[in-house]
Amino acid sequence: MTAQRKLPEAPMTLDEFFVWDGGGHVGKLELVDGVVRAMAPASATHSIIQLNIAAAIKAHLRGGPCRVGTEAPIIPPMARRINARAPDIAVTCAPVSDSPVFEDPVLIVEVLSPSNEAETWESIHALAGLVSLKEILIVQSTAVHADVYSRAADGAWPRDPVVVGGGGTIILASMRCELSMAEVYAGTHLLG
Amino acid sequence: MTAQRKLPPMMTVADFIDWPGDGLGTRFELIDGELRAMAPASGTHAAIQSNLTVAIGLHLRGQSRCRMLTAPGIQPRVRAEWNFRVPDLGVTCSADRAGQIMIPDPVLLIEVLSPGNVQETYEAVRCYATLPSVRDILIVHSTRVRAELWTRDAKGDWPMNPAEIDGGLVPLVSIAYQVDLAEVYAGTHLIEGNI
Repeated sequence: MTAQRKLPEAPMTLDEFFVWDGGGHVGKLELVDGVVRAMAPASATHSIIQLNIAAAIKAHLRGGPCRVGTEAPIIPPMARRINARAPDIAVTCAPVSDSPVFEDPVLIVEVLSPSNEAETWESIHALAGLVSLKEILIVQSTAVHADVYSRAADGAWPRDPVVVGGGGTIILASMRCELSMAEVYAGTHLLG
Repeated sequence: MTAQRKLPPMMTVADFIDWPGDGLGTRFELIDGELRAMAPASGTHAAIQSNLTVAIGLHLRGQSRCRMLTAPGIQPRVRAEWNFRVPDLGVTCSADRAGQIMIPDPVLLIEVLSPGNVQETYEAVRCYATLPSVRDILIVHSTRVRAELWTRDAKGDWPMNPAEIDGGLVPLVSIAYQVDLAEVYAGTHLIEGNI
């Protein structure tokens, strides 16, 4: 038997979202214009890649003021208090606080799965308007492939990403961080 | 009998521009490589759009190098190759060039909101906000007299909430003009006794 779980009726505000019990959902929940969006369960490959990247960035940031978080709520611009997104990984350098929100992210990382590609891109477009954000890393979970968008000196995003394939190295210039694709995909079947 | 027409799979903007369409005259946007049909608009929506075109077009004519465009093609910066959006109206201050399909550097984008596409409209607005040239984004309701105005602050940030204006003047800093809602809603059923 399938347990039908009902999402709460729209619109939900951010304040309500942060005290909501999640309605029994497991996994990533986002608030999109007052409507809760549950992301499809991630694959094992997705999960390994996500942790590999988070661990590498955490090691790189050690000793500095910036922190890495997984699926932390981030408020997009123009949120009207009814929007939150939760990229797979984010880095903030804002002062430590008890806010439920990851403030002023400088980097977001999304690991793409075929089941939620459209929703993930919606989220990336929404967060790209954040002035604090310097870089966006998008990593495929079905192929060894990464796209990096870095803001230019004048603050504009490029039209097209820097593409990194197998054997390559992802360069996150804003954090002076380099991630080898071998490290990102370590332990997955994709490195074969 | 209904003629079912198959839409093509994932498209780039280049494919989209070359695509002859679905043969039924439907207007489409391209959202991350997928086609999205644009719903037909109401008569009220059309009247508001036309009023805005006239008011802003007249303001710009002769005193500005900026131009008003109806249904302009907009490419957001991130993943530009797969996205082509079409707001109801836009203003650009860049020169017109032969064969140009996407408008470069829009400063003002306007969406007339219909009950059927509220979520899509806000999604589009957040996309427009990623373009560095955009300074004002205006949403005009078509079921009541209301304008929502988003204006970038001095740091380049967008506010959490828009200015909500239910009558009088809407200040558009991008084109140094205040558009009067009485003009915007003139001739519609919404105006009587409302302003």
